[in-house]
Amino acid sequence: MFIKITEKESELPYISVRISVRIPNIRLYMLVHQGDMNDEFAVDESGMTSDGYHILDPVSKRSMYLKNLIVFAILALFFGLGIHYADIIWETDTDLYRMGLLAVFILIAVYLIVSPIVFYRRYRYRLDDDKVDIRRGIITITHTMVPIERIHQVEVSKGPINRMFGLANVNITTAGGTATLEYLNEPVAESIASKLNECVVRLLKDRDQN
Amino acid sequence: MTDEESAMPENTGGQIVLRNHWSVIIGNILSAVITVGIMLFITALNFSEKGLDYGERWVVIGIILVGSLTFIFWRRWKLTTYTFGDTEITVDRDTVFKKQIHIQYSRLASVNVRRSIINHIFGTTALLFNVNSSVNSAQAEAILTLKKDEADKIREAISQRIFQREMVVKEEVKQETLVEISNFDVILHGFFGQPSQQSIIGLASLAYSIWSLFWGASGGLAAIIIFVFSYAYPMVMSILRYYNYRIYRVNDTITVESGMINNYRSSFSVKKVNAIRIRQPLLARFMGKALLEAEVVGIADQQGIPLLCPLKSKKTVMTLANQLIPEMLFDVEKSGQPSKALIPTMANRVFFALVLIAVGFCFYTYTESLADLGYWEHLALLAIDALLMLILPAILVIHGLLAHAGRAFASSDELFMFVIGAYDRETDFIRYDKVQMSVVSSGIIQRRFGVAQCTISTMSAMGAKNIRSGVFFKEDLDAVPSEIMARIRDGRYDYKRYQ
Repeated sequence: MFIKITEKESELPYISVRISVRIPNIRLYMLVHQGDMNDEFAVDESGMTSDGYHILDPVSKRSMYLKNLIVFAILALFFGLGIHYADIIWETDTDLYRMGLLAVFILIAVYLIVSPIVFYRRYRYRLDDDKVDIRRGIITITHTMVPIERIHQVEVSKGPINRMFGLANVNITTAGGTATLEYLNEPVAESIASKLNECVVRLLKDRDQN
Repeated sequence: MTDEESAMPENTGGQIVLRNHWSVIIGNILSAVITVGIMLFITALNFSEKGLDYGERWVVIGIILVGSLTFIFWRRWKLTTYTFGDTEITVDRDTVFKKQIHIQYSRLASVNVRRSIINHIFGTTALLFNVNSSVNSAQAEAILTLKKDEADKIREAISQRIFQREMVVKEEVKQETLVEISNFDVILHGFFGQPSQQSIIGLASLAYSIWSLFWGASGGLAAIIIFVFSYAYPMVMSILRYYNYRIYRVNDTITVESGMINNYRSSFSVKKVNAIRIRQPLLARFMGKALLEAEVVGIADQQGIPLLCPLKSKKTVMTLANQLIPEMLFDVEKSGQPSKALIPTMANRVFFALVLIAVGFCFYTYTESLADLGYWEHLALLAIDALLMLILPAILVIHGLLAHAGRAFASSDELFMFVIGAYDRETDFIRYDKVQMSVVSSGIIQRRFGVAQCTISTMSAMGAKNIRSGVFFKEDLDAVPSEIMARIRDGRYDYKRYQ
């Protein structure tokens, strides 16, 4: 089985991810075309969008792929067992069930392969003096806005896989929930967390003085 | 132990130190006797089924357990004090685990009153100190039980600090309720005020348990347990909680009084109201009725968020809302979902309806191949087929159509409004200044039509709550986060307004 993924960086913001899956006697071509992407994700030479949003470090894709690889291995084990022991599980004509399981597994595998690229392409964040903006999404695109005035707590978290690649997350907690800036370089994450903490402390001091 | 020594007020350098009334120990012992009794009874039954009969030894075990617990309750009562200082209440407990809780007056959302049977017998009142926090919202930060007149004095003094006015208890008693709620209304509220899905699960479980009783099918006990916890218990508790319902407003303070066995009185400032909600479960909609709720942080109890009006006609509810809390309403020029939102609204429902039909068809072909089925088994399988291929897909499609027709969005200077739901409908009026976070999201199909949905996160009476709008043009929904930020930037948002 041979899988080739091609990204065409130059065609931003209209990205095409071409996946070629070749199994003996079967050749599948999949084109994940993001033609509906708006200019909000387009970046210039400085690596920022026209309205000042930052992109992630490309190394974040490696971290995502490693995580997905682990998920893939676990799923492969369960699906493999399901397909192998289909006779025992369903006690009836099992080919249909085997095909069904295989189809679901292929769909998940394709998602695991494609999602880091799309996630990386569509992840944009911006830190202003008064708010944090995050645009992200693989299938559904979300635009999260957190006013700094509402922030209660800022936390930098580093999981084992992110640590391997020098990455970290910044968890921003408000009274209504938590927003997370993901896959940031450790120094960037620390600097964002420290800036947000400073803003929150300044805000509370101002209130105390008033 | 006399009443005088029970509360033991001490004046320590301008601070008042109080202790719970000793009747708290009696209440705890009664609860312990009931709990230990049930536990021992069930254990004794299990043992006797296995041929082990320990007879009176269970009584001895019970006495030892209750005796030990009584000692613990007494020690906890003796070693727990409440100190009322200039800026805060300090709760000190020096038992096995040493605990000190500081509750600043500025953080208090309300001081509520609860009077149980024990309180009535001993002439006491329990004061519930609720903090303005979403973390510990469903449980009071501290509960202090005192003789009624003493509790009234403390409540007045603290209410004066919280609400910046003198809250005289006698004044509260004289107030006329703003809406006449009969106890029949409260019973109707108990039956029809619950979300439809909860009622359907409960009633379906009841139907199944009756069916299993007559036809000997398994799972009857589980079904009756589901019915009790999902429908019967909330219904009974709601009736007990809201019986003898009264609501009134004095200046900026809203007070709700109710209770059949236990009496409750909750007061909160209108400044602490983050949002109000007019809710109409499906059956209530058929009857032209609605109920009014408020999101006030720190006011929730086991019954959920504060209820401003049990089920009444929608007109009555709107009239009450206008009289009670006009700050949270505006003249609505609401716009429904645009026609471009129809396909995005219907798409996932149609997809899942088709999946259900496919699953139903597979199930039908599978069951048709089964031999030696009895008449009732065959009928049950046909019912499942009909459910999968007809009823559930129809429910999904109708849900989509109703959602598209009913959802709306509107905004004013300080508030915005979402109408959401399909079968059950709710109208939320939310303050921009109380939104903690906003997310505007659009899926693949929604992007094709330029529409999106907005989810706002806010502090609620039960913790944090997310409210998701219907499907509207993205630029219209983007106005919500923009307005939140604009109000912070130009100073229209002032945190002092809500303190």
